[in-house]
Amino acid sequence: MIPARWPREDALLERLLHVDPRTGALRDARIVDLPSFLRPGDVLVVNDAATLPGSLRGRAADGTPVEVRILLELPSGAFRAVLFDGADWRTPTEHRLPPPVLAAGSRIDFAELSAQIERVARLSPRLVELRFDRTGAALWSALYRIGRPVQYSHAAAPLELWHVQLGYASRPWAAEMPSAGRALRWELLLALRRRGIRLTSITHGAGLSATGDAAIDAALPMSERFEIPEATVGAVADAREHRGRVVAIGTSVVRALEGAA
Amino acid sequence: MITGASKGLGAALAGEMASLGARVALVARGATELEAVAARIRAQGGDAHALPADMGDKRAIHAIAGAAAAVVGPIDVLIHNASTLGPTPLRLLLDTECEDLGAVLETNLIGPFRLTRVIAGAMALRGSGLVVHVSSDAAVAAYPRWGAYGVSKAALDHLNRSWAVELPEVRFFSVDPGEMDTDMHAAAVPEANRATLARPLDAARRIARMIVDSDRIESGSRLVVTP
Repeated sequence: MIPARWPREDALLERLLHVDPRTGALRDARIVDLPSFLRPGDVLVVNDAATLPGSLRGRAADGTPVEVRILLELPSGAFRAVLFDGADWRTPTEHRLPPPVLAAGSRIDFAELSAQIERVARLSPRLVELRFDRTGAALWSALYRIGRPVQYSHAAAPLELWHVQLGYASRPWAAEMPSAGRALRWELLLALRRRGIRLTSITHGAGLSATGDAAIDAALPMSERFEIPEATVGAVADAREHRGRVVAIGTSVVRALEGAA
Repeated sequence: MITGASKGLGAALAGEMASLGARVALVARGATELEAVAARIRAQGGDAHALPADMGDKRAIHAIAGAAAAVVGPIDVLIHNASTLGPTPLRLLLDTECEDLGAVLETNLIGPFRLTRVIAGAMALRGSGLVVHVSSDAAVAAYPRWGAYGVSKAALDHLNRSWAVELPEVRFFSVDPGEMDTDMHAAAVPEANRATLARPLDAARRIARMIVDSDRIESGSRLVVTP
């Protein structure tokens, strides 16, 4: 595999592999060719979750650097997160050293806020639930000031938040970018809509892709938060009734639709 | 979401929209003033959240959009009210530094463009949403010393029209609120008799009504609040 080290300048030239479900024939294409594979009455479902600035660098009470990666905001207002050591993005996830073991009650200090660990999972001491020292707008403003998107060692440089936001992103629920949608420029989406292909969305808080912790990685994807609007349910039902096809943009959309089927 | 919500028309609009039942996310540079506006709305039973940020700061845009969506949910109505006059007392164009014109455009034109760009996509996907650009009489008539501001507002009006023709799924309008008794007006026209000026609250009520009735407004329109 040759990793993509940086987002392609012209997203429409991202590659697309078309597999004919009957013959198995493969066609090597580009995203710009997507309209030729779709027909009026088909439904395109995208994940409109924005990517969290979910990588936070802080220090444990004894001063040990620690990286917290947010997985999910829980209904209680606490966050499920995975702990990493203090190494930077150039070290591949699987080569990161174990972070300090932090018991329930431990505190992590960040540049302008702090968090307390409320629970440590049985699965791994790196999987925790923590609560920040503020809530609502004050918390989210601070998270956006101190947090960065999750980084990748194969990237040519650190990724900023704008590199990992899609053109239709809304609520910041995704721990990592729902990347299948990255290439869908509005030029293409509006052309599809003009051709009678319905665009609909779900919001799916895709979790972390990997943590380097064997026990956690074996349990991925963990329970994820998703929401399917009524309009999307209606569009999918319509398509099925009229032999239209439902095209899920990315695995997070597949998981949400299957989870609700 | 309302930008420039810490005082004047923006604060009044925030109160009006909240009293109509909207959950409002307020954006402005001054954190203390902004929190006071949000607290006042909450004290009256409204649901308001303060997100201090500078509309002229490119790096703040995703933070504003993301934090707002996290606390109030997907944005249905985006009101671009924040704006700056540039240096005051207002200067003739020949005395205006290029950098000052650039800074005015950054806050009054490019900031709104950036914020719409990260919010209107989700609106278009849902097939509904409204973006309001607060404009000015100075966008249409040229007044001595109002060059930088007037140019930025004229361009904002055209940005409004351009969005409307490109994105029929979302509605856009710009509105000239008329002369009002605000800090900005006092900075621009210190000799004005404030007692003769309209109250921001009256303009806010008229604009809130336009927002509620916006499905009857042709997208891309420029409206004027007449006294």
